Amino acid sequence: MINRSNYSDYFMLYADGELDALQMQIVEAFVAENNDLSAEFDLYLETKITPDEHISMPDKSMLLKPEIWDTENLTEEQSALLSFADSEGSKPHTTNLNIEAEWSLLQKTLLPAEVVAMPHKEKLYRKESQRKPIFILYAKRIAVAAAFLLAGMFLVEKMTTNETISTPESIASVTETPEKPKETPVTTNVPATNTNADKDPEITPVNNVPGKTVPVLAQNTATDHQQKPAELSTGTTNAGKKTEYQDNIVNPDHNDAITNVASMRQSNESVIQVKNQAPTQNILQLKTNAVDTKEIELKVNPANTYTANVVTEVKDEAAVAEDEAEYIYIVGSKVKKQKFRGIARTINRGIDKIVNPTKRQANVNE
Amino acid sequence: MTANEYNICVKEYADNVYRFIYKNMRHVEDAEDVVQTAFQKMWVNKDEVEFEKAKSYLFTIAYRQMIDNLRKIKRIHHKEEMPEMILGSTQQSNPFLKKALNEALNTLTDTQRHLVMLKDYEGYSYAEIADIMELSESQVKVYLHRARAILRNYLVSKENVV
Repeated sequence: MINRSNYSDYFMLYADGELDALQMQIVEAFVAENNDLSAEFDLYLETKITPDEHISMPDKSMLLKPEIWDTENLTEEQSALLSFADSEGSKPHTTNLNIEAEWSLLQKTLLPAEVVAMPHKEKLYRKESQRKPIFILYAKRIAVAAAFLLAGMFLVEKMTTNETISTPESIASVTETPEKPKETPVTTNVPATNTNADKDPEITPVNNVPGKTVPVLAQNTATDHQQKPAELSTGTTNAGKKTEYQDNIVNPDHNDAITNVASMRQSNESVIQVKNQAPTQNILQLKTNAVDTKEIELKVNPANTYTANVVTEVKDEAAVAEDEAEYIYIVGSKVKKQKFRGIARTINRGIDKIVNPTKRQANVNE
Repeated sequence: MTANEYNICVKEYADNVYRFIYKNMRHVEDAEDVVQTAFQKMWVNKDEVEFEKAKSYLFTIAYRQMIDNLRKIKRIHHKEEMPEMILGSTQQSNPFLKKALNEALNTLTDTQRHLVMLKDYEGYSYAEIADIMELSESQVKVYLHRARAILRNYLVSKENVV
């Protein structure tokens, strides 16, 4: 029981809150009966320290451990934080989540940057489609240039051929160089029935077409058992052309029928053919594939008389020129100019279609 | 789109598309074929494709092509395990975290992994991903959140404390 000798112990227990309610009432009643001790009782009560409510531990949320989320039922706060991690929303303000810890955790789920180079990437690059026609343009120019060049070559060649046939100088060159391989004299076996060897053979035109046939002068200086050349020449045509050929014919002793075909090129197109079809008849043919086709037949009769048949299809010079104007020679082939123009036009259209499709479309629209 | 712009796309996006496809298919030649096909289609349709939308177009074409290829592969090789790590030489300095994240990615479904890659690698928005993967925007959001939460849970699980 509390009295004036032990009241200090009870006062301290009261201040520490160690007394129950009945004991506290007994202490309070004792202080009321002894007013001289009330001041001392108040001093004990003032020694009691009360906690400061405003003081809290900073970042104590960092001490919290993350919980496993229910992925099938995410809360709004969790979804908001995930959206923020996906850069699709603002940072949520919530007290139920440890934002900083969760944010730090979600940052770790983001896939880190990684460089992966695609192999053979250079295969994917493409060139500008507009650059392709440049080659085509060049090809077009080259094709045109080649066509002009071929045409020019043809004309020069044609002119040269005409000059070779018509000029006396060219004739002389032909007759003066019979030993050339291309101008090798044709030799054939002629039966030894030429009893009139001392005579100059008569060569008369058999088929003399008016206006087309050219008289032929041929000389055979061969005698029996002698090998002398027989000269064959064609005269002037009605177009004023003059062509002269020379051939050497040798009469052998035997009578065997021998067919000997040889050629002597007067020009690129002229061919002289000599045929001995029978012992009694020799036919010398001169054929030319030039513009004016000629055929000469030289017949040697048993009586040792020579006849020459010359057929010419020499056209009028103007007509020939006109015909030639309609053709063009490409790589040795004779092509009609009109056909060539049609081909060139088709090629041009194709190139234009590739080079400038928009322009073509615009033309079509117009 | 001009040829020059197309070539810029090759230079800028080919690696990105290839990375996305390769990470999902995990096969070099197949990924290369898919990317080449995507660029080929873009070249064929270059007049209709705007340069500004070329990247999205490429990813869309490549993604669809990849899905087709994956379906074919799955028909042939059922449940074939792909032991190869998804994450290659990354800038992740923590090798343990990289390993854990790689394992976490393997727990995702194909669609979830595609979503995460398109978001994290390419930074596409929900709307753009929805266009590429032919999903609604809300589906993308829900699926992606779920995928991210799975990755998160994997990392915080007691076996993978980071």
